[in-house]
Amino acid sequence: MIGTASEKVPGGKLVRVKLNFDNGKIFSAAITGDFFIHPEDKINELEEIFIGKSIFFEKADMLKLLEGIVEKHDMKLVGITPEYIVKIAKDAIAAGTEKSMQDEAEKKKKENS
Amino acid sequence: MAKWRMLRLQANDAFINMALDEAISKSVAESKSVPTIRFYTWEPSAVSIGFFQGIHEEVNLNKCRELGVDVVRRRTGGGAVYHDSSGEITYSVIAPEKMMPKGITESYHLICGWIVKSLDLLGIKSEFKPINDIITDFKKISGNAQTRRDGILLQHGTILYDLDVEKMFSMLKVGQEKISDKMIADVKQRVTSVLQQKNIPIEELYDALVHGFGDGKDFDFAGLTEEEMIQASLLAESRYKTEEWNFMR
Repeated sequence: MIGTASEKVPGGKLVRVKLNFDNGKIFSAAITGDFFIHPEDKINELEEIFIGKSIFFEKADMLKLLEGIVEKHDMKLVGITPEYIVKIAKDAIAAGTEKSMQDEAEKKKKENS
Repeated sequence: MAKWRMLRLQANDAFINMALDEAISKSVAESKSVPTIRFYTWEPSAVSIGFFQGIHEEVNLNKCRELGVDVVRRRTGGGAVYHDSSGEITYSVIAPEKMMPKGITESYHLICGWIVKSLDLLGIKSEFKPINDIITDFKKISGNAQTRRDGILLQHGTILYDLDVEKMFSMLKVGQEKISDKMIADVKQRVTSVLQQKNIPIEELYDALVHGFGDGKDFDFAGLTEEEMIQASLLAESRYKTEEWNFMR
């Protein structure tokens, strides 16, 4: 399943999170948008935090992990925050789940007709 | 007072333009070059996208190909920009971080202040609007992006000289599948250009920028070093022209 969600962070920039997940586990994550983070390449480590996690992750746990990476590399975030990354990731999971349920229903409908 | 180098307006392709910023940053980091201000245009016209943007999400690649417009990913964050070959002037400021304010907003404010000063010389009133814009008459006239690496601050940005909203939107994706008249009207409400404010040739804008950026600085007009030129052509090939870089997101 693929779920995508995006939101403009108030006073900040557009942040889009795309998650790939199956059987309740996330196996890839991409954070895109017109925000600023430096050093830029450390974004990979923020994305990797999501990999292998349950789609039912606790927001507070995920936030702590993301903040750990930010601190570790003394990353500067402009127009994006760890809080919003977590929030949009949850939205992405909801969107992906909903879409997959719709697709499933659509498939059943076709099979029955 | 720190010595600055000013590089005169030069037209390059997108890949060389981005590679030059990186090559100069390296050279300044190694104290082989003094802090540098450079002015440039894009030949051919190009779209640049922010480091974190998805290329397919932001750019109509087929349209760019059709119009002969290059597409390049920047080292800096921020949004997608259409750089028309005769519609804007781009600048870069490359200097040790220690010469600049520590705060991100403060340093944007300082460098954007040089643009505000330049526009003021043309009789165009503008102001810095955080995070990274300059506005005139409530409309954006300049967009800017900054990064810091290895103790070097790089800020680049564009000053819009002339604007073709329809052309810009044929290449940049803006959420909707179809570009509506209303959307174009909205953007025309939000973006302006030097030409819309004042009927002057682009050379006059360039002169004003040289004065606005150079004001209060000890600077020399100088060229690129041989090493910078070689490094830039290598970086253009090994990074900025590659699919690996441009399609990484």
